[in-house]
Amino acid sequence: MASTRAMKRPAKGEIRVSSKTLIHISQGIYRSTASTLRELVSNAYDVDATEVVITTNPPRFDHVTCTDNGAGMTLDAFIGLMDGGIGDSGKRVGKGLTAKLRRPVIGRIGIGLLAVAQLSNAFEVWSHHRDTETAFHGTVTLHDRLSDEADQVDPDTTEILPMGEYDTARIPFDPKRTGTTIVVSDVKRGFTRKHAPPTEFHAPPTDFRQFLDRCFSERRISSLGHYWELLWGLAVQCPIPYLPEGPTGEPPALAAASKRLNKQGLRLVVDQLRLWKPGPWQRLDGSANRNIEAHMAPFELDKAVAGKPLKVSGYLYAQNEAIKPTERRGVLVRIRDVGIGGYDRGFLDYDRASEGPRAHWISGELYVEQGLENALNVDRDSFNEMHPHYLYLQEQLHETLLPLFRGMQSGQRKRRAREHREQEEQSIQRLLGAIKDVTNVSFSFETAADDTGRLVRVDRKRRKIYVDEGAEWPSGSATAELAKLIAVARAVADSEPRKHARKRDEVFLHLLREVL
Amino acid sequence: MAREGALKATREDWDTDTVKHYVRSHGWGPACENRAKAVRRAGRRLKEPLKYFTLCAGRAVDVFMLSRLGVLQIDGKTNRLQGVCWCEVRDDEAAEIERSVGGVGFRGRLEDILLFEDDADTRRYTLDDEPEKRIRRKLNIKSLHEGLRGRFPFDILNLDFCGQFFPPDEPFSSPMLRLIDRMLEWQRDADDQSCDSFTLLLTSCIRKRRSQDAMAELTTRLQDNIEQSPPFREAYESTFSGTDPKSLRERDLPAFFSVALPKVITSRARERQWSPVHVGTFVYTRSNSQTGESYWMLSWVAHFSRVTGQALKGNQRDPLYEKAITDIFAHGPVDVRKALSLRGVKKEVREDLAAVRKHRDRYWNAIAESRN
Repeated sequence: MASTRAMKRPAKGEIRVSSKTLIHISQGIYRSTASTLRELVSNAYDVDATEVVITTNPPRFDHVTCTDNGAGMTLDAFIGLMDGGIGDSGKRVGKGLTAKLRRPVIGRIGIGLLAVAQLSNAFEVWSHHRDTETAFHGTVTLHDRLSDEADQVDPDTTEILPMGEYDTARIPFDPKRTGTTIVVSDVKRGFTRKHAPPTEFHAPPTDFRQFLDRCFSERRISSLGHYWELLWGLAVQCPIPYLPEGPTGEPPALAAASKRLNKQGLRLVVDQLRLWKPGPWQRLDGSANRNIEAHMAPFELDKAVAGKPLKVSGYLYAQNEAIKPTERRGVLVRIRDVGIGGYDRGFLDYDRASEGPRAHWISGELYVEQGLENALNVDRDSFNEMHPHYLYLQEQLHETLLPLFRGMQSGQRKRRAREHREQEEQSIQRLLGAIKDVTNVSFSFETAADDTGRLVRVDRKRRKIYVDEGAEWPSGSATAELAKLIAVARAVADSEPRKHARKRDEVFLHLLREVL
Repeated sequence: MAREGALKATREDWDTDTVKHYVRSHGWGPACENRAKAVRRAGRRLKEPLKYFTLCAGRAVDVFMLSRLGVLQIDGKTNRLQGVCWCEVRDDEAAEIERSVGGVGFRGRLEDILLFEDDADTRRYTLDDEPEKRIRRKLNIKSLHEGLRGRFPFDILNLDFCGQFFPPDEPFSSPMLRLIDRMLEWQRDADDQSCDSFTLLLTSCIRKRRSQDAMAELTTRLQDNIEQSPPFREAYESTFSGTDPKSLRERDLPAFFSVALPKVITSRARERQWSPVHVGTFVYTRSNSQTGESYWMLSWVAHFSRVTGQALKGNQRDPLYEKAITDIFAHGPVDVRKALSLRGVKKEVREDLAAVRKHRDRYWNAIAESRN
């Protein structure tokens, strides 16, 4: 079919991105609600907020608010944002540090506010700007079915596509209210349906330790409901301090990150629950009393890759049992202290199949101090897996994991061998006890070969039972052990006086019962 | 373009307002304590928290006063205030309530939520259909309506309105009055019919601009009562030195309202099988700092009990009704500003308010820190 479009002449020029693209992006780039709200927290972090309070109005989940005590926004900045400034951030201009607290700026392209569009088509903003001592109230209404509308637009159009309307009003500045409040009303049905429980709602405790205890008592946090998952996701991903204290103390590999997060001191409260980052020292085994062998391997990387520095530090924690809850298995990469998605159970595409259940035994956090950011996808939840920094990190991680898994495998073997030995010892002691019961003699074992050439010999005078360990016992350590014990039982029975043939059989049967 | 100066009503500073706190501490607090005792004495709900509906502002002084008095309790397991349900139209205030109180929130105008009626759109669509914005808005109100209805009955209804009952250009049966009717019906018809009694804390504004028709109607109704019932007349006369409601209305509007409004609500409550026991009325003046307009606030405190048997119609008399009206007529309103001018009262109220603030701060700090 012939094209209806006019043929274009060969030309060269700037490449531009259609505003349609931004509209499609605005309609959903974040995988989870936690990631969506994380963007609002990151925005607040970038304006030096020390406290961010999010409310979701449980159990109705029909509104979302996010209030921060940061520097606030001016009316001009807001209007600029609405008039085409979204996706055109200048936040990283200069040293890329925040003005007051000198934090590394998280936002890069300035689409954080679009996260709201994923929750609703309408929101309101109140902002009291610290420096200019001005304040405003804005309402934003986005068009329904934006993606459908955008698809109908002629691809040749160069006009800016309207996404919705906004209205603003100046309000009196209140120094006590410095910061920004975003209220999301008309929340999309999906959000409400996902979080509102079909039956009675169980509010989480307002103490984070109790919250964690509950999470760790479950195999999966998701079994407690999507709302608990949301809280967990925010705790894990946002740049907040680690929950202080713990049974094993803070691991050295995290000291710098922990110190930095404490210094930055962002407090995040969601529906009256103050969130903390759960540290690796907080009961990864999911049980307080079990004696679990754990190993903490530091991870350090500092190298120029593709001409740019890549600096990563962190830890990989391994234990000899599956980590609970499952949401904590894997490795979590943080860039500028913000988690990229949740824990990656695939360990950046490691061949987990060969590790079997051991892949559930590791949990780690990697703090990227330099580099990798260009490998980050727009959703800040995943990476461009072709990027050289990603590839190098992946390679190094897998190299670290391999000996860790091997060590765990070897440890597993050793543990099994030890357990086997302990079982053997218990069986022997049980048999010796039974022998004493029937013979009134306390025997002990000698493993030295006997010169009579017998497999087992009972020396009643010396109170010794000789077992020829060098003999060709059946293969397999457990079978061989059983065979030896049966042979001992037979030999002890045979050592009874010959005239008591019946008693010999009774002794043998009694000992056999003990052995088996 | 920004609309310069387009400003909503300024907030009152509830944290330091001794006038308002006098009503809380001398009217609401004791009545709610009595309600809590009655619920616990009844024995059926020893473990369940008291259910409290409020139109509290962001600072939620009423909630924390009741928490301090032990009327509202904090769950030992979750450290959350229990049994609080609130409604707020302003989004910024609602955000603050959610932050400070938690509870179950309904965002919107209470009149819209309670008086919602299905129409063709709301019958045809559900929110899952993702209809257009106009319909979605109605469906959201429907969802709030159904959600709030599901929360009834409450042990305490604190309807701290800032609007007035008889605004100009509204019929006598104004939306606020119909809202009260609806609440009384929901209290009565709640699923398990478990509510035998509850406490109403009703506050409203009395402005100079009001419905003249409604004023005339109120006056006539009062006049009829006074003329037809000797006990009413006696009680009214002893309190207001006369038997002419019209003259009281002209002379002392807040006093007129302090009997007229409870009387109207008592009649409507009786039609819905509730009988009130009058506790007290409080009046105080206010002025709008921006417009300079002065107005009065009226707060009525009453306990309501379910009346078994058939519902009464407007003209029917019964002993419970007569007792309620006599009590209302026999007790004039407390002039809060006068009461505060008595020696030591203001200091006492100020100290109580400070203690409530301290209690609230402790609760907030416990959440903000949440360390063991």
